[in-house]
Amino acid sequence: MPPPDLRLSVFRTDGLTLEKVWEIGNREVINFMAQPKELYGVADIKVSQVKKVNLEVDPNDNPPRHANIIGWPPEKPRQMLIATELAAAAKLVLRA
Amino acid sequence: MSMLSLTYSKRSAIFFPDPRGVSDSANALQGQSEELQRHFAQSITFGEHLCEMLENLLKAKEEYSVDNWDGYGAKAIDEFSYEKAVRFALSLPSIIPTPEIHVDPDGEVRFEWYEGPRRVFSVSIANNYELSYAGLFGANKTYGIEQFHDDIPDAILDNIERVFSKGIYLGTTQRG
Repeated sequence: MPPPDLRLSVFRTDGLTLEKVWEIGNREVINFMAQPKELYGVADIKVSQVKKVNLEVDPNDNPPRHANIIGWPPEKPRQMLIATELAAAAKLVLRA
Repeated sequence: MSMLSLTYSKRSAIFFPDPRGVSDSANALQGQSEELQRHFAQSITFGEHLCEMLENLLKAKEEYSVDNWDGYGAKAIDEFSYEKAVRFALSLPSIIPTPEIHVDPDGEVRFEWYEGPRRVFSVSIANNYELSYAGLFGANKTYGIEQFHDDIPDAILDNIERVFSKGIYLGTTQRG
């Protein structure tokens, strides 16, 4: 589900090893949580799938490789449907 | 060929109407009815998966009790959404399989029934009387808003049923 500002934070992981992906996840996501949790895995999704549900990827490289998925509708039921479609299209990669 | 049709009551066996009174007596009666529902939930026959749901709701309340739990400015669990979610859980017919419980970044409690990536339905409980819902059933999609007062709306129960269209058997799903 998107956050309140409707800019869903993601990282572009093309060409990265899984080790590097975990490193980015811990450094840029887990560290910012109010109560940091264990990172168990990531959802891997292609930009084409994001566009298929009428959203856009806005790369800002701040921090490097960072982007936002934008264009979410304001209505919660539509957000829920899109999030469900994205989850269905995503590949779950669990940490070994 | 013969076919057995399983029908069930769409109302919880322990249903009590949403209180409309504002007096001390009405509040006391409401407290007693909720206490009775919780005792009923602890009975082995009827309450096993209801107990599990209530426990999971409590865990969610603890886990998502502070703002920014996701590192992206998510809101802490909304107290009123939590209270309505407990009421929603108590109102579910006992035959409905136990859902997963999540908290959304807007602080609302969300119930999800999942049988696969394209067989999933979720309901988010707002801090008013609104239920936002969305579901994927193969190539079919649904989403919308329903009001939740005394009963869980039929649209919600029918969509939960669609997730388990192969059959619902006493609080669990038919496998294989």
